[in-house]
Amino acid sequence: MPVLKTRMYEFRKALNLQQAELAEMVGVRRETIGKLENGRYNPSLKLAMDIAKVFNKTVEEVFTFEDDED
Amino acid sequence: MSVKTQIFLAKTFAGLCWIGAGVSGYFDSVFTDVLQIIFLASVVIALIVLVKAKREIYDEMFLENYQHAQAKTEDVMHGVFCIATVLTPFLKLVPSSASWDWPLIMAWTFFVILGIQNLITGILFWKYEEA
Repeated sequence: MPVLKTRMYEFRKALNLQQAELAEMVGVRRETIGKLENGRYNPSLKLAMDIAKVFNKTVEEVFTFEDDED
Repeated sequence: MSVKTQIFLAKTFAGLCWIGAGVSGYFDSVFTDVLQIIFLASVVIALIVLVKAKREIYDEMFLENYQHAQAKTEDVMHGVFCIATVLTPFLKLVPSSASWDWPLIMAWTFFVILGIQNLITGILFWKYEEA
């Protein structure tokens, strides 16, 4: 089963943003950003695009689906 | 207090109060009447907290988890109603059942059902938020 992988943490750190700041910018809770970074939540297309826009990247650069090794 | 905690506490507290109000309705005394008023007033407070918490935030993960919890609760309650429907005819076998005030019993049971529904939704919502 494909698993969501994300580079959100890396891009967020590059912009020196806190989870709460990013959450406010894209209009979600800090907890949602935390779960996204841990790959425990699949975002809607809108949220994925909003996050990618903050990082000035494409959605594919921020989020990818990879086959689970298990 | 986070929205997650507010929703969890409001739902479980409202659930327990509905159950309390329903159970106290089965007894006929001034004490249980007062108790019932307190429980119902507490439900109103819990609902205000719930509405306020929901207004504060529009978050897709919150909505998804909340709707997921409500859908799962609906499935559970469906099962409970099926079991109750099967078991209800057997209550007629109880010798004193003819003298029971069925409309009143059903009215208070409705409160208890509402309570269970709120309680399950609150617990499941917390579980999904923690997952």
